[in-house]
Amino acid sequence: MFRQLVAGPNVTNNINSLFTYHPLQISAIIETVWLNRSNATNSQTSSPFLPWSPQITHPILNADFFPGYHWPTGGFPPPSPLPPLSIPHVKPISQPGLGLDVAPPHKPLRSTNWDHLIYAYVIENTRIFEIFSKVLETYMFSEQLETPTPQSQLFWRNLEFLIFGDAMPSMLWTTSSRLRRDEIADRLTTYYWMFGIDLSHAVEIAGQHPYQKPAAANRDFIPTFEAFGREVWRGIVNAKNFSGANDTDATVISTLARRLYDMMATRRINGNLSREEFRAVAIMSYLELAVRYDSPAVVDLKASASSPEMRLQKIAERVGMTAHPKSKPFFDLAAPFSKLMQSIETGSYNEPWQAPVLYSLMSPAADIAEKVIDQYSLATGRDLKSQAVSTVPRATTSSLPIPKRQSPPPQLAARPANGHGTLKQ
Amino acid sequence: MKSEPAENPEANEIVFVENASAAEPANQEELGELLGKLTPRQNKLLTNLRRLYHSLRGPEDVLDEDNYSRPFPPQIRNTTSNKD
Repeated sequence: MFRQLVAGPNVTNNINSLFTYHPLQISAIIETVWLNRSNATNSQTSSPFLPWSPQITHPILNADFFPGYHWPTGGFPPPSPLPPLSIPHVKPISQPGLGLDVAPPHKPLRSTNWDHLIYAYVIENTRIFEIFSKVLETYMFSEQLETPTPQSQLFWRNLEFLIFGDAMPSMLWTTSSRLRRDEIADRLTTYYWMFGIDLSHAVEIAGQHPYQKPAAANRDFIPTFEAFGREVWRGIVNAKNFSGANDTDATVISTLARRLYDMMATRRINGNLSREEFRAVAIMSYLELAVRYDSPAVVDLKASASSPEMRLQKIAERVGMTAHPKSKPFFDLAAPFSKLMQSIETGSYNEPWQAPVLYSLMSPAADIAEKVIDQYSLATGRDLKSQAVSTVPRATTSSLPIPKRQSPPPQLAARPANGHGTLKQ
Repeated sequence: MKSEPAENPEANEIVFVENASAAEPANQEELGELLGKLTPRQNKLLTNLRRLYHSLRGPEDVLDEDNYSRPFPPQIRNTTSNKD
């Protein structure tokens, strides 16, 4: 969600400003993104939950950065406010992904959208959540790490208040309560519900965060998706070939796409799991942005690097942890996988005539499908570019002789239609 | 009941027109697929998909452009070539 919020001109300024906002401003951003969502109504999978109204959020979003007054210059004339920590500072209402007109009355100019739950699942597999949790804990209870700069302190404060803190009851992204206190366990349940799979490090965290596995879960998601990926890859290969046999089967692709579509739609009826997805995606995108560049938090931890996975690994090493060794393909997979899953959920490939869009030359959908197939194979080690081979178990015993057909005993007559035999008198 | 296509030219004509209207889009799609081209319907779908992808774009493309690359040595200019 925060990925889409900051995407636009001057990305670094947008992210630096985001990290220094007041938690209430970030809360107002979250509510506004939900308010302006593209699937608010007219769909069987729309969620009815109401966010804060614009009358509440607009004054908060339009507020300047304001840490307090500079009192040495105070008195008369009035004291001057301090300059913002991130210069140039971008107001929340000016964030490009919010879709609001900067001029009053701040009309929404376009709808908002956020990533699919698969994005959160893939990013969380890098162990980013556990690593940042450990760093925050280390900051709080020791001086093992250097004291963070003011900019970095605001980032960690937002992280503690909004992600690791007790949720604000009036917010729509509040998904924890006295009934479901453990958010990590709740997220594991949601992943299992939607994809029928656990995180790669689920065994390590399941002891501290026991979670439930719903009986009605999409357990066939991974086998179906892998079959879909293999068929699409056949299409991509054949689209680039100008000779030889073409074994692309648009009907099979559309059948598998329809199967995935139905799995997702069934779980999402009446907006079920929408808020859980929204929160999971928002949390993971906030953390991902922190390692996408040399952010203040990264610099303070002396973890500057040329790629997100290297930054994450360096941060992990500072607190005696390690990131997932395949974090690189995870980071590269998350965004295209999210786009592919959302396009499947729109029903874009449910008919055979639609399937060629996934593998035709010069099609952006084919680019995304190819990226997903590449990175999925690297991340999971299961090669989607090879054709599926099914093994049939061979007989291990010798064939038995054909039993001799025995004639019926003479005293039994032919059975009547009611199935009861009769004895000859 | 026997059909009499030869004796009823009007009926034949209607059948011919119906067949043509049903088969034409399919042939276009098959031909387009053979040539690697997308049909108008598929292009319309692609336009919708482009809008979806745009709504999901993130900052990674911009942020990944960094200055960590080791520079190539500068080009050596041949100063003697201008003397001719």
